[in-house]
Amino acid sequence: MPSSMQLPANLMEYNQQLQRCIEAMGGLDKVETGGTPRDTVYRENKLVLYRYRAQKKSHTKRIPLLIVYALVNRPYMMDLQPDRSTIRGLLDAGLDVFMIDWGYPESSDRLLGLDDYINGYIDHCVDHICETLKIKKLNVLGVCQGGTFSLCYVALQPAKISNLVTMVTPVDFHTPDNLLARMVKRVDVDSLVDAFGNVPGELLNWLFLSLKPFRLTTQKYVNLLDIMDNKQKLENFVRMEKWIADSPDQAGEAFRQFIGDFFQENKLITGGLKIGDHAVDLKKIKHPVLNVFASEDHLVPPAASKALKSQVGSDDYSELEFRGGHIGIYVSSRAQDQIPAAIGDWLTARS
Amino acid sequence: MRQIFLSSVGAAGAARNYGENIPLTGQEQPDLWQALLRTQQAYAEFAQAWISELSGSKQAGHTAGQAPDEASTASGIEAADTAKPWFDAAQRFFPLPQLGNTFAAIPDALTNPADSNPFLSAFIQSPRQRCLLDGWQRENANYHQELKKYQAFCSEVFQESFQRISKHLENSQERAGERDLFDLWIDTAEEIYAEKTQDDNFETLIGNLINAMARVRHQYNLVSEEVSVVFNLPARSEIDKMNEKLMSVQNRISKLETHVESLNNQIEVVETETAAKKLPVKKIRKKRTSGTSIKKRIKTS
Repeated sequence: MPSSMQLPANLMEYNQQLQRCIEAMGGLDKVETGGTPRDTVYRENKLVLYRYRAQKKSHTKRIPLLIVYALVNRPYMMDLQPDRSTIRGLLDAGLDVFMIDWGYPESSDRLLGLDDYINGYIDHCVDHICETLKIKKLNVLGVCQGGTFSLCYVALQPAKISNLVTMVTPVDFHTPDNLLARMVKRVDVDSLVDAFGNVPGELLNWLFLSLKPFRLTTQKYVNLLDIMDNKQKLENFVRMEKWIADSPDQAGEAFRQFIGDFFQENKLITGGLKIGDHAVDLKKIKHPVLNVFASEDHLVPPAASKALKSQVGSDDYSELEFRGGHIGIYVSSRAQDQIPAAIGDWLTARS
Repeated sequence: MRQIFLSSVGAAGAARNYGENIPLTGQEQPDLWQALLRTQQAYAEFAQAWISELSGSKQAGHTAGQAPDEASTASGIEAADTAKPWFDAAQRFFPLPQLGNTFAAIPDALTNPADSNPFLSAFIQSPRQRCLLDGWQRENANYHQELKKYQAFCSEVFQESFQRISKHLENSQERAGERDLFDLWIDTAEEIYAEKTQDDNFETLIGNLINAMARVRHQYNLVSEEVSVVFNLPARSEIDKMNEKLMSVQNRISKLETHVESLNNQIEVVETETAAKKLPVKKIRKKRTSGTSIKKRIKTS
């Protein structure tokens, strides 16, 4: 414990630090996200498909890759800022990167279900890219919930995909360490969706923050004082805060199906999953699969991702473990060095 | 101490000013400022609580003549007692994530009891409407009951984290600064939280809370339907039906487009095949009409 004389001085200093921090944040410019040049190549309803422009012209023939991001939170996490950009890394690795931005669902999108997202939007994007590039098959990188969607899609349309990469993707939703699944286990999802229509993003944010409430709602802001003299770090912090709070509402029907079939009934493992009228069988995935997961992921525990190995019918299954968390896998400097290059190498070897 | 408190008020004002100019809008608006202000306010409060506790400790034995370091060599138990106000303040100021925002879309007019709300008092005209409002208020009360249970759970985590740290301090001769103590508290609280969330009761707690929230929203929807009719506005149910129709039309168009595309592809295949079949015929004709100019052939045909 600090001494009685030392304590007021420490607290006074802390208070002054906090004031300086607030002043420093007041002096920040508007934080920008992204930065990698891109073109809109396809639109449908709220969906926008982007194609990213490579900065280095080192690769004459680029390997096409479609990134399917999650519906929760916004996809610019993949291209947060120039020095923290998975997309930039993938371009540098020689890939031709496309990414789906799902947009913000409105009340008119309440009835969009997983069938619309997977058999509709994803399929249309795949067709569009194949047609544009005059190719018959495409590589897919599914991220988090987008990874789960990608698994369903590849199982349903195996002929359209050449290689599949999943990143922090939940497959087995009932591993003992999956707190999120426990939190929604007894939620009456039908009543929730019927009452709210689209499910508010704030509710999801609350659930995510409740996974580690003390670190994520308290310690993080106290730690902010350590970086207040560093404008760049402060901007990074604000940028990340912006992303965390930027949580779109979830289309009601898609949420109902995702919580019901995946979180509550764990149908990818127990079987019986249907997207629209089509039964999903992961054994139909005989493609090369690279499963990237984070060892300290509090949202998608490693065990939930690693379950994929026993579920797919592929003879060419690889895993890549990243030492870090669910967010660090996109933005940490270690991730920038490791993840995009590894994905690039893996795809290059199979293309 | 007073100075600390006043300065925190000044900083809060500065933050509010910045908050108005914060260049993050709409869906991008973070809760950062609320969190920062909460931290600021909390620390001012901690300072007050802790220092008044230390003043009390001095009266009890740590005389003004004692060197500060001597005073700080109090036993672990004393140290833990000294930290108690800090944790009490933490419990008040660092609640777990709040669900309040989820109801942000509900107008204030509908979140007050009807009897004290002129808007709703004017609106209630029939027993049926009274019944709807009663239902909404009943579910609102239920929701707050569930919220209290959740807060009690959070409170347990706080209390246990304090007890665990107290024990740790009793058994340790380490001298921790405020920041070390804070970090230790976070670690301990997360540890206890993780333990407690393994219990089936936690699933029930969260499930009941969210389900209660959905029931409030459902009742609110019924009330808002009535309000919409009174003001001659389209009700949510009508808009939902329109959306259903729109979706149905979009799906039909999409299916038709796919069908048309498939037909076009078939036509293209047939045309290609036909062209391929015709090609040798043309060659044969060319042979037969050898010597005739192309122009003549066109004219003839």
